[in-house]
Amino acid sequence: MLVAVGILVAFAVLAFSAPLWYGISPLATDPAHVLGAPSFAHPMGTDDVGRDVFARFLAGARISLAVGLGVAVCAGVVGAGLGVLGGLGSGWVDTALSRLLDMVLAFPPLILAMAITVGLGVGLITACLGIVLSTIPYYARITRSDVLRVRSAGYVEAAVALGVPPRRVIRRHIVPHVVPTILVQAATTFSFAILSVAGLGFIGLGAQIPTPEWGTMVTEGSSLFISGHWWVSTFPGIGLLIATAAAAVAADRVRVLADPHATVRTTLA
Amino acid sequence: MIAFVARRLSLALISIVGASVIAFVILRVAPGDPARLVLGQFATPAQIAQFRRANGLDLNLAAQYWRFVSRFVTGDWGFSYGSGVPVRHLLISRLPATVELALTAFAWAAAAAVLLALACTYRTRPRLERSVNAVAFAGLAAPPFWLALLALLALSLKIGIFPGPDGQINARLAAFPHPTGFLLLDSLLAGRLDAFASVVSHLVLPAFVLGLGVWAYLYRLLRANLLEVANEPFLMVVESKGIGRWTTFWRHALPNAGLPTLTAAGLVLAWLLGGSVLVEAVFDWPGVGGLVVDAVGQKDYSIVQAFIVVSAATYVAVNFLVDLLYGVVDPRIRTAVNHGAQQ
Amino acid sequence: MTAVGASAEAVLKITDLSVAYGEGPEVVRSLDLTLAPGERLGLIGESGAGKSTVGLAVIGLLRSGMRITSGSVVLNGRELTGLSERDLRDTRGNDIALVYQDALAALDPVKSVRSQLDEAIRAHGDLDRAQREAVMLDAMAGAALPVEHLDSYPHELSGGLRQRVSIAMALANKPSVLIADEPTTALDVTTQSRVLAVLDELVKSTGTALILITHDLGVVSACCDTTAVMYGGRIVESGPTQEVFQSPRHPYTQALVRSVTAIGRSDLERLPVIEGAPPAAEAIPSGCAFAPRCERRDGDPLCVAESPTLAELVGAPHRKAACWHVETDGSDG
Repeated sequence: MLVAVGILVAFAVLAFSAPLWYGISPLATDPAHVLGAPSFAHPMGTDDVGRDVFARFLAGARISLAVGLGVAVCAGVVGAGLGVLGGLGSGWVDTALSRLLDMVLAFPPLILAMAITVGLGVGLITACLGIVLSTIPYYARITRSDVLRVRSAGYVEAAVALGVPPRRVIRRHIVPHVVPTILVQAATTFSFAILSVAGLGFIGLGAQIPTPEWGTMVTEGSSLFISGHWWVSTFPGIGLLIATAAAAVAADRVRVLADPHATVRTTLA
Repeated sequence: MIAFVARRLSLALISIVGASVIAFVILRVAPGDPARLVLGQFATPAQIAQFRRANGLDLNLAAQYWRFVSRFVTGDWGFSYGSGVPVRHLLISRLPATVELALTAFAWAAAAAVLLALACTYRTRPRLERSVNAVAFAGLAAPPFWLALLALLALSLKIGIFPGPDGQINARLAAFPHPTGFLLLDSLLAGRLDAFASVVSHLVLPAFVLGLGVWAYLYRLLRANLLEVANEPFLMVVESKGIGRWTTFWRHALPNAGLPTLTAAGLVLAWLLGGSVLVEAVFDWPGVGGLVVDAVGQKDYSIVQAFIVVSAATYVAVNFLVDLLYGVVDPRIRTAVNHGAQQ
Repeated sequence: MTAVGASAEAVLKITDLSVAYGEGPEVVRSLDLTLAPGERLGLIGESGAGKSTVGLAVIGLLRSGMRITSGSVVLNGRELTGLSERDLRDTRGNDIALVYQDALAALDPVKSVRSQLDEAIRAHGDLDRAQREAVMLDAMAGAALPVEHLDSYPHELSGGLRQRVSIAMALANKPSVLIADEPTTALDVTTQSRVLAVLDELVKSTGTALILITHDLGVVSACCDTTAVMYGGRIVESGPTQEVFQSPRHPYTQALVRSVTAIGRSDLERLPVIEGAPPAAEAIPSGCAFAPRCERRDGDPLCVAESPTLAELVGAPHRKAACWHVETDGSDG
């Protein structure tokens, strides 16, 4: 767990501090050094317009980490809010909400994100929006079931019977139980978001060239494989792999910490 | 039982309808005038007006939706301007290739997951378990498209065991009839072993890459469920009857662990759908995923729209069937249903 | 009623049995127990005393790294320790059977009663379908179970019915010994008595010897001819149930009986309690395990120096107690 989180933190620190210590800009083209193999000057080589891959790798790290965090937080806040609303609300509110969530859940996650990027215009922002929307229902559902469970718990009934005002009941009794589940979900969403944005970037629906998003970078470099210039695609992919794997390991540990009796949840996001 | 099925079915239908609304709304919001996109920059206002009328673009949103749905349900899924063919034809003609790929990916993933989960749970094998776990984590984390590229690079370009990204079969082989559309079957039916071998060798890499995520997920789920069941006292009681360990495991532990794993079927489908879009692009596979990626590139949005609605409908349908299946197979749910208990 | 340990050849003879966690502390220490054919023995003790472990050790189903470190278990003249897994399988369900405490957890939730009962019968002997059906019906009848329940699933049955199914399953092949591990602990009192009645009847009619493991003295006095009291992994007293309860000789047994019979006595202000707590397996004191809590010790150094052996009482060879001061006390207080 510590190793996993450590890797992520190291990545983050490296990536976000890069402008301070790494001089080459991720967008600067250098026609003189096109398609250079990894070397001392360019640790990850250069791409087909002479941009330094390492600089783009770091920039990509910034993007992916920010995306992962941003999506997890946004979807978490909105989804949890909806879940609490559904769990605490009256019958028809809950039913209406559940049906709405069902409709969103009818889409395989990547497909919904595709629809949104196609509909609202391609780009990193819409890709993130698409993924946020497709993961909200997962948060909402687990939060709702948690709230329902806690709501009928003895100590909540006791608090209400004692005259504790509802807002306080929510804050002191319901929220602490819901938070761990949300955290677990957030950890899983983190890696899902990174991979999905990359996937969308790969098919041209996410970040657009020349934005140095890892998925888009893989696409850029895919045609270069055949001519033997493997570094343009390989490094961003490795970045994706490490970041996602570290996040997944961390997610797993968080899950075990939060609830030792839990089995693998049947949610992908 | 009827009430159970009816309720589930109505929920499923509501989901599909809702999804179609969402899909429709999102895609109609698309910036850019579809008329201009299709007819090009030099279209005259008259042509544009005519196009809009012909495609119902001058109606209000609700009417447009109704038009869309009523046509969809009767099989008119729109027209692909990029290829000049009705969308439905395109999708259906490319479907078998995707199904063949997805089924192969699923088959190996499921088999490997079951075998490995069994191997690691029946006897404690910590070293095997640790390495399998590590691979599973990597499998879930690796972006399929990147893995596909690497696999191509390593195994096809560098070592040359497997063919490159040139579709399902070596195009230079003599043609043969495709009655089922599934090349594995068709080549055997036509008695063409060379074609069969070619199909197989082309299938290996894409099926492997597509199935990896599925395998990792199924393995972890099955193993967790097996562990949970392995600690149940009833296994010990079965052994106290004089049943051997392996038989106990096979007859009692597996079915109990397998049931909750069934519910993952829907998610597996989601993964396969999403993954096929990515993997087919890399291998130039003539399936639905590749079609969609090309359509996106060419801004042929009627294809994308149909694909999205069909995906959602399929996803809901599969989940519905899995729910039903589970209700039939698990006696605890079956009897609750029969006694009219609320689910 | 069979005389305890008398001329009848013992169906089960446990000698010097020790069970430990891997290389760690012993949970059962040098335990001796003899069971005559058809004898119904109640094995009493608090949680953690090791009584369930004895049962599991005898049937060879020790788990979680526990193993028999020494001693012998002889069933129907055959040594069980050291037998191959295959031979052990032959005896399980056939010569010796187990009824587990929690019947819901003890039955496979996705298989019908019929399927699980049939499995028990098929495991031994080559009966054809019709014969097995007959045995099944017989077993159901013996446990007073309506035949329709054959096609039910465990979750559809009440706790009492489930437990009776477990009993029917265990006794289907008419084993020589039945180990019932807290069979009624999970049941309410009324169901409890019904299940015990069934157990009683069935065991008598099949001639099966019974080891009833429990912490409930009431259950033992209702159902068992003989009683053995366990403390700290050892038997500290044994004998015919009525005698043990009416005149316990070991201080622990005395304290136990005192705390139970206190109910109904109006002259007591507080329920009698045994000071202290039973020792954990890793912390069993040298010498007599009960010494730290014993009122009878009077600072006798022998009690902490040496562990008392389970010896026959003078003048009452069918009664045994393990206490250095057993002579000094007669009936209970």
